[in-house]
Amino acid sequence: MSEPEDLELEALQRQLDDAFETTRPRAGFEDELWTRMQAHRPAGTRLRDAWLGLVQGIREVPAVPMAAVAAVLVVVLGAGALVYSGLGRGGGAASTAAGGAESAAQPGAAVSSLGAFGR
Amino acid sequence: MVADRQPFEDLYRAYLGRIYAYVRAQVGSSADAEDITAQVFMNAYQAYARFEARHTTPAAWLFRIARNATLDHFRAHGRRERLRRTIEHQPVAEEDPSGVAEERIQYRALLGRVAQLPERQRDAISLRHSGLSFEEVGALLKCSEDAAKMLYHRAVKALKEAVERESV
Repeated sequence: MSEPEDLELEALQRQLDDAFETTRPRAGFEDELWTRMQAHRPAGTRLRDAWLGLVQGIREVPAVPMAAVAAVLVVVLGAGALVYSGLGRGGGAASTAAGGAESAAQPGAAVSSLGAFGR
Repeated sequence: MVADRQPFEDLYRAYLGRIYAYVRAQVGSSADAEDITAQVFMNAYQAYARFEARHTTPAAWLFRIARNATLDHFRAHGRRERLRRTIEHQPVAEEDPSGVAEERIQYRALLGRVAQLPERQRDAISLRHSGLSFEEVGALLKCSEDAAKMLYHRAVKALKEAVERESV
C-alpha cells in the first residue's frame, strides 16, 4: 500500500472514531428508556432489588455511627431486660441487705430510681 | 455472583451511547436505532442475572445482544427496506433544521455509508469503532483475532472507495 493511501485510510479511521464518538441518542432518551425498563420489571425483581438496596445502604453507613447506635441499643435493651426481669425491684442481695423492710413496704421505690424505664 | 457485578444501571448509563451509535451505523435511521437500542437494553436487563463477568466483558456481552437484535430487525423488515431507509436518510441536512455543525452532518453521512457495506464489513467497522478489541470483534463474528483485523482493514478500504465514488 502506498504512503498517501495509508494516510487517507488513517484519516478515514479518525473520522470514523469521531463519528461513533459523537453519535448519541436524542436528549431525554436515556432517562425515558430507563423509566420504561423500570416499569416492565416483574414484581419479584423489584422486591429483590429493594431488599438488596436496603442491605447495600446499611453496609455503606460509616462504621463509627453504626457502632454508637449498636452501643445505645445494647444499653437500652439491657436496661429494659433488667427492669422487666424484676432484678431491679429489690431482688438483688445488696438491696435486700440494705433495706429489705423498706423495699417490702414500698415496692415501687427501687423501680423509680431507674427513671422512666422503671415505671 | 451478584456481588461481582456492577449495578445494571451503571452498565446502562455507560454503554447506552455506544450501543446506540453501533446500531445507528447498522440501520442508518435514528428512529429504528432507538427502537433497537431499547430492545437491546430490555433484553439485557432481563438476562443480567445470568451474566457472568469471568466469561466475557460487559461490553462484549452487550454488543452481542445488540448484534442479535439488529439481525432480528433485518430479518423482520428485510434488507431492501433497510436500504430504502438508509438512502432516504442520506440528505441528513433536512433532518437537522437547527443547522448543527457541518462536521456532524458529515459524520451522519459517513455512518450512512457504513450501513450500506456488506454485513460482516459493516459489523467489523461498527464494533471496532465502538471500542471493542479485535479479539472481542473476532469472538462476536466467530473468527480469529487476525481474521477480524483483516476483515476490518478490508472494510475500511471498501468504505474509502465508496466515499470516493460518491464524491466523484
